[in-house]
Amino acid sequence: MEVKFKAFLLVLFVSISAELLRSPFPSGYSMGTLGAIIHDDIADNTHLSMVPAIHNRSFKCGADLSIVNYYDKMNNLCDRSLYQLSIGGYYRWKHILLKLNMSHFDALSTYFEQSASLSGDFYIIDIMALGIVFSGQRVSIRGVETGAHFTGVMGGSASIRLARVNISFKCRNLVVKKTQTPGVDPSLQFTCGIETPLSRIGSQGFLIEITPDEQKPFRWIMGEEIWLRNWLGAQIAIANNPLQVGLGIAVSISKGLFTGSIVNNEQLGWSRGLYLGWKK
Amino acid sequence: MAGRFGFLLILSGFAVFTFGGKPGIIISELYRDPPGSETSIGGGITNEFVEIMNISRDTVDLSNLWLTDGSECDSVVQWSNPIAGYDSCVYGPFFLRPSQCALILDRDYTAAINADRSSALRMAPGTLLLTVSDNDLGNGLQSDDGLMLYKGTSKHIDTIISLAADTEWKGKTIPNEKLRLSELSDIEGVSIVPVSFLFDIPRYSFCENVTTPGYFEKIKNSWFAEWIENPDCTEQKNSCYKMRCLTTDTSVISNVNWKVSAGGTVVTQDVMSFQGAFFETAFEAPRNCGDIVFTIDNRINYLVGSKSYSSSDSCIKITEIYPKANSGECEWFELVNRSELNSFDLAHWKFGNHEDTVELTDRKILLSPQEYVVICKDTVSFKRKYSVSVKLIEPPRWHTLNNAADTILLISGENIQADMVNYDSKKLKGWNYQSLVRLDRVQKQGSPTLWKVNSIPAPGVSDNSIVQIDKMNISPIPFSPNGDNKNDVLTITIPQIGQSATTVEIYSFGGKKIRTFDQLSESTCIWDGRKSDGKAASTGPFFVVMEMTADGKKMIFRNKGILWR
Repeated sequence: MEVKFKAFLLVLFVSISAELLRSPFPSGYSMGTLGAIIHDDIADNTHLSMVPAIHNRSFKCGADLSIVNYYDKMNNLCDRSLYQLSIGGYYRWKHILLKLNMSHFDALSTYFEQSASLSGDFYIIDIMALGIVFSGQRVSIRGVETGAHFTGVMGGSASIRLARVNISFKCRNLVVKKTQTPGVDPSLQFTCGIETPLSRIGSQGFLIEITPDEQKPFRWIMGEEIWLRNWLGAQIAIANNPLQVGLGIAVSISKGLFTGSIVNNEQLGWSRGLYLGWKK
Repeated sequence: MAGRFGFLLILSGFAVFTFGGKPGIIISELYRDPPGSETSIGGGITNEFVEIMNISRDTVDLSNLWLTDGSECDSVVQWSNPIAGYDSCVYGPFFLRPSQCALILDRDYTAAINADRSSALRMAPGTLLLTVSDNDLGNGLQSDDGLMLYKGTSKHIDTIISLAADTEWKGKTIPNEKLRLSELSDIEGVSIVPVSFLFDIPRYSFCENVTTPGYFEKIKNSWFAEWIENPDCTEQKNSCYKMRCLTTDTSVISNVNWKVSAGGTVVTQDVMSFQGAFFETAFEAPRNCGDIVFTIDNRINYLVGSKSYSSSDSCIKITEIYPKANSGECEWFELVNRSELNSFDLAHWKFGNHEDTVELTDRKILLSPQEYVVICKDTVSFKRKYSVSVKLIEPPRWHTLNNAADTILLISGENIQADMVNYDSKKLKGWNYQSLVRLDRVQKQGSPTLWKVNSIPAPGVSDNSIVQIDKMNISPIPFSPNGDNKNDVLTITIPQIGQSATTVEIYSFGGKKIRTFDQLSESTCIWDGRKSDGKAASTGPFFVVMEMTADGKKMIFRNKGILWR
């Protein structure tokens, strides 16, 4: 029974709170840096929104705030944008890391999503952490009589820290409360990633996403993060399906972290993200 | 004609119709000075008319109805014989239903249009035609004449029905001097209409569409609404309004919803509570955050206010110009508001070139999203040539456009350069006396504007079959492919720019291509909200990217929309 339970946990991966950001960018990574796809947990354990954050036990609690503005202006509705605001907090208690995140997504001041998620990550053995997340999402629109839609999802992750690499598996969007309307519930997604710890040449990462519901279900993302100074880092990432290139800088001051990133989609243009984090 | 609208100060008078607080008949249009000499047959005095409308909820008996301009009293009578070509008009009985218009015409109108068919008025269907017992309306309406409608006799007033004059008239005696409705000696060819009459001081001004016999622009689905902005708003960030509404619909007693939205957000809403025939309320709305719209019954909208134009708006553009006018025609150019959300007030906007600019208008003229307006030198000659229903502005002074080459600047009321175009006949093959339709949407600084010679000028018309459009449009936003036969498909309008190859691609919010339409030859493309594999696309934002190649030049248009189910 216990083995079965552990096996069950292994396929339920931690879904990080900030993942619920409505982002076209690599999932499983920093909600603020967008373009950054290297686990800075390995580098500097700063971004709690990432799965391996559980591996860093040097902090007790923290909070983060991010805002993302999506894509370039287009030929219509030039005065309306798409943006997301997200705020999160976390607390470590012994071997358990608890996280709470809330986000608000606004598209053209017409379509809205609000989500809240609660997750817990914990060690089952010294090098392996498991996590589980529950999220609720409300989707609504202005000017149409149809009421809002509510969705409940859960997810989980497993993260193994070895000597020179970190391996993670993740599952997102297991729908536990369905809507009756097609196209509203998020698509199930699996992720597998491998990252290297920080070295002279920075840290590297490679991630594969599988979304069975998509016409092209496979997607890869790879990137590099390097800290030029103790307080200054640079990030670059590239992904396919769709082709995206991200650039970011990170500034770490005392207990705070600020990152700014831009990500380009070949057809839709640039998105911009800002992230502010604090940890204790 | 130039400078005529220099007199466009709103005239105030006392178009009294609310005796005892009850609405009744209003003088809804007064055509005092048609073009041509007063005595000409076809035009002139024979084309004068008085339009009246019943804005009450009761049918009004027209017997014993008289009109006077102070110099002569005429009994209003039924039109005797139907006029050829006016079969859709009504010739009896002698009463006026709620919301119905009647035209009181000169008795010689039939003879006039038989003599000169071009002078015939275009009347709205269902208009009741009336005339007077005398040869002329009043003693022939002068360009400064006011008018009174009353019940009674030639010697005595029983009840004043409606009064359009500078000064109020009380009592039962017939006016023994000319009734005036301001001094306007040079308004030939343009009628005057009430622009405000629900509040205490009714006001008349020029008809924006020159004349509209049988149609009163102020009515919307049996509703009238007017508002006054109160400058003493307690909150500086807000605008304060006093609103008054009236309906001719007898079924409306109560339980009618109203709401006010600003920039798409509802700021206040309630249920109407009528006081007599009227509903009155006051409300505040945040200033400068978008259109302030007063909505009745979730379907009748009144644009009350708008945000100021800023450099980031960049959505009012010159789209067609007609700088080479033939003899008897007037120069004009067309503007469009490309915003899909915001209206803008054109008061105190200017056009011209770097040496000389002139004001478009000092009136508050709101240009709604996607709406066109034509700026012309002479509205009367413009209307004579183009039978289109379009918002017109005739500036008090005209800045003459050069026939060969010129630059046209458009400057907002806040002195922001909204647009600049240039043209040069040397670079436009075959350009004689046609209009020029603009092809490029965004012009780079210093580069020449791209034009297409338009053999059939189409001012103010966005019909794709007539006008070459220069951008992609998608509608509706949001669209909801849920099978309820309402907004179920997205219509993508494809620019028709010469011979072109077009591909339309739909992208999800995640940036993935989910649907492709190739080799399009039609002017529109329809998307049913499904991906290429037939599955329903996700709700939320999506993007439409259109690539087209015209004349060896590649163009990309990108629009964003919302899908909802």
